Amino acid sequence: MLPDTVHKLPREERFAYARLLAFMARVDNELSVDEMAMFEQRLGTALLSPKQREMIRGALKTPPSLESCLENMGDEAGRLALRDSVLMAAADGTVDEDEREVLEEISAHFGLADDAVDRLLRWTVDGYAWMAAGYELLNDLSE
Amino acid sequence: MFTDPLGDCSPNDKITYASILVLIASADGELVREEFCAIEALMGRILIHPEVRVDIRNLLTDPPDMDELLIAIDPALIKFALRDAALVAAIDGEYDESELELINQLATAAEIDDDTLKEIFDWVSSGLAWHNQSLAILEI
Repeated sequence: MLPDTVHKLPREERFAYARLLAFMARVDNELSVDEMAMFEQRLGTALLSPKQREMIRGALKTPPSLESCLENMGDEAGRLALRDSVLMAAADGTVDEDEREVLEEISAHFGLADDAVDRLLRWTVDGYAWMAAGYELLNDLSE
Repeated sequence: MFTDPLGDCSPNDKITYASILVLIASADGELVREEFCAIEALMGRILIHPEVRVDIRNLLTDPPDMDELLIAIDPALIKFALRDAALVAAIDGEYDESELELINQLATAAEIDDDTLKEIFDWVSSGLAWHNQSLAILEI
């Protein structure tokens, strides 16, 4: 919901970005409402065509392999997908071992620093605190 | 991670909420891609049905009337619409006069005073700063 560069990527890169998110959403074989909401939120910023959205929602039911997601994926799309995968993985409050392993694999694939996933996790915690502050600011009004 | 009641509100309230955001985005007469992305993201976040989103997108060419929307929406949700309207309005880098006028109309309807409105604008600014930090981590 914040200004981003995903929409500036070529259409096929945006599709690849969304496909990687679909893969990530199913890593732990569960898809909570919170993860789904984050997935749909990020999908919105990708401005995909209706047909592409349909294909991505199909990928949620039958997830692609990580290798096929990463194959020929551009650097910027991959890095943004990594960041948003962290956001999505953390949406239910925990990042389990399987998810963490995949995040590290994606980070290494795109040549990011060894501590990139840790930094993204800390960034995500800050972001969820920011979202909570937005709610508390308004919720306090009715007390 | 729903940190507010928008995710659980009625389908009609979701439509009205999204319509308010469309009205804000189209207020200055030009819809930039960033505003469109923000609306798409916020509609996705509260899981508005894909077919309903098509109807909401169509409002961009024929924006609704704020007074009618304020009558239609659950009064308890107006302040959340105000918060997200401030986000959408800020997304292209500045608040336009016509956007501010609508935001003030929402603030009045939600009985939000100037100090709280300033806090909302500050919250938006801190969110933009937070989001930009990710690009440094990603070396983009």
